[in-house]
Amino acid sequence: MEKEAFFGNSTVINWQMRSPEAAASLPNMNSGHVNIVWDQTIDQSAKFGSALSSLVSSPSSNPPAAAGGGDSVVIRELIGRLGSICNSDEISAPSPHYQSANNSCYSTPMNSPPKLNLSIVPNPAHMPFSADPGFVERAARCSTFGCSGGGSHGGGQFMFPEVGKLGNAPEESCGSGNAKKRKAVMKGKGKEAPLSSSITAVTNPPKKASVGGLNAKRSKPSEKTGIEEESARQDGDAASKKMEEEKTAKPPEAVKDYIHVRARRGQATDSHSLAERVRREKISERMKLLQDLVPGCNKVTGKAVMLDEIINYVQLLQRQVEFLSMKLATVNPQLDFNMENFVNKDMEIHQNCGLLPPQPVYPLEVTASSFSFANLPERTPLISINGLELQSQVNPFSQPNLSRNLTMQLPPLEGFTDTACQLGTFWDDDLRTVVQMGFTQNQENLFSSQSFQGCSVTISHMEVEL
Amino acid sequence: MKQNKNTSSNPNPRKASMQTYHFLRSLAHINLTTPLSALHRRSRAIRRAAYVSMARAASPRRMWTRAILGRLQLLRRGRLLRRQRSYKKKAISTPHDKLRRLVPGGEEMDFCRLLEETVDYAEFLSKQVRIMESVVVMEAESKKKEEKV
Repeated sequence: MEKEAFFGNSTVINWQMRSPEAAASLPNMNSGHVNIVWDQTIDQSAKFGSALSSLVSSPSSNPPAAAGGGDSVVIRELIGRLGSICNSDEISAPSPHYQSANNSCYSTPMNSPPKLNLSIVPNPAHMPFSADPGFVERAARCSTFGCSGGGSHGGGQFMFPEVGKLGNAPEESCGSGNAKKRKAVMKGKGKEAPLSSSITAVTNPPKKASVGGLNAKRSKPSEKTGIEEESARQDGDAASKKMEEEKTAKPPEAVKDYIHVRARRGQATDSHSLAERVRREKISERMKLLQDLVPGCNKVTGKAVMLDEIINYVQLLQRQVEFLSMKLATVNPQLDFNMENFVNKDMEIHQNCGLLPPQPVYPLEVTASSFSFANLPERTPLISINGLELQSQVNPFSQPNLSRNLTMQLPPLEGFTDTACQLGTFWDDDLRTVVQMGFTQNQENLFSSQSFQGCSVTISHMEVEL
Repeated sequence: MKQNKNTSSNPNPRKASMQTYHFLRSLAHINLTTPLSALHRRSRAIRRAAYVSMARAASPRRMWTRAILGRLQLLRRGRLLRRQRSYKKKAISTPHDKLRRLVPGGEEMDFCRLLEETVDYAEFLSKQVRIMESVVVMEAESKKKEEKV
């Protein structure tokens, strides 16, 4: 109401006169800074541009929707004023335009914070401004996304005098762009509602109604696109291709700095929630890995249950290790002598030959089982694969017929040397199955060379399968 | 076919073979040093050997390997603290903390890292179990054969 009276009789001069007074009279306005800016805007349109840019920088630093809305209101007003200054040949003309622009601005925050710029687009008041080259330049400047915190501060302060004129809920609605103040904005809405409606009734009812409907429809914009949308809307206002080009070039640069992961539509964009999202994705990834690893975990849904399953599995494995170690402690072995022998020999051999370390394993494993002759066939291919001195290794077992068999066996096994690695991997993976296979085959005829033949056949068979 | 499956499940066979190598070597050492009569000591030694061989085979960047090997070093110096047990007992038993206590070195990790370590640890542990089983089976078989002979 007050505002209507104020702007109703306003010329530019009048406005210039009054605004500092208003700023001073406002209780919440304690900063001289605002006054200075205010004067500057009126005096020089060039400085106005810098103020604008600082204002525009505030939405980039303040993602929340409500804050963006508040700031965009400021921008809108500034653009309106800017235009009026640029077209300053007709002094009386801007005041009604300005008023209407203000009306739209104040009505919008309660409808939908970030979208409010839409309400101004149909407003004819801005059309002449966009034609002005100076305005285009300044608007382009205002699109710079500096992330200075001071910008947002200045923006908030700058708002006060004007909104203070309106009287009802000014500080909250325009407020500094903190998410905490969102609630305050909500409160402010209720107070503002009658005011804005009355204003719209006075100025241009049909347009307002349509705009209101539009905003109501789009009342839930995504937070992610808040900044970009804003800039896009500014484009629409200025309606200059130059600006659009600049805009398209700029947002990626700003985004690159801190966003490593792109947020999808409807997701929060501040760094904390981004990091949290990354963490959650990582965790679910690992959960999937564990799901593959842990048997019987595929059917389970839900993280907690899965975690329990994983814990059970690990516990089971640990217990198994314990149990097996006990078993190994009890069972044992006259083998140790030979094993030790073998270890040493293998070490020497591998130092001499410069072979890769994993390979000594196989003879070793064989030694564990080597006291039964049944296991010999498994050893033979391995020895030949390693290309080591057969005799020295076989000697500890030193049954004459065995060594003879082995030497007999060697020529056919020579063919395996080229596939040593494959066989080696296979051996290690499938240690147990091979051993069992060997046993089953060798139990039939233990000492005959036929068993060796059979084993070599199986090994070649395995190789084919590999 | 079975072989293929196994090779695919085990992407790095060399590591596993290192594991067997270490384990069998230390097993031989234990067999030499500790007598059969000291059963408890033997079983403990073998268990430790199993974990250490796992840790040796796995990547040294992993926290759990470093934890195991660090503990081993402490043990060798005779400085494994008694306090550790009381520290473990006072932990609260949410599922996360349970897992934390299961995975060596898990007390200091955040949850994300803990899961990563758990994946690795469980892989190696299952491998270790397979190795030990195979050794047990082999020895049992060898005994049978000896009896037969």
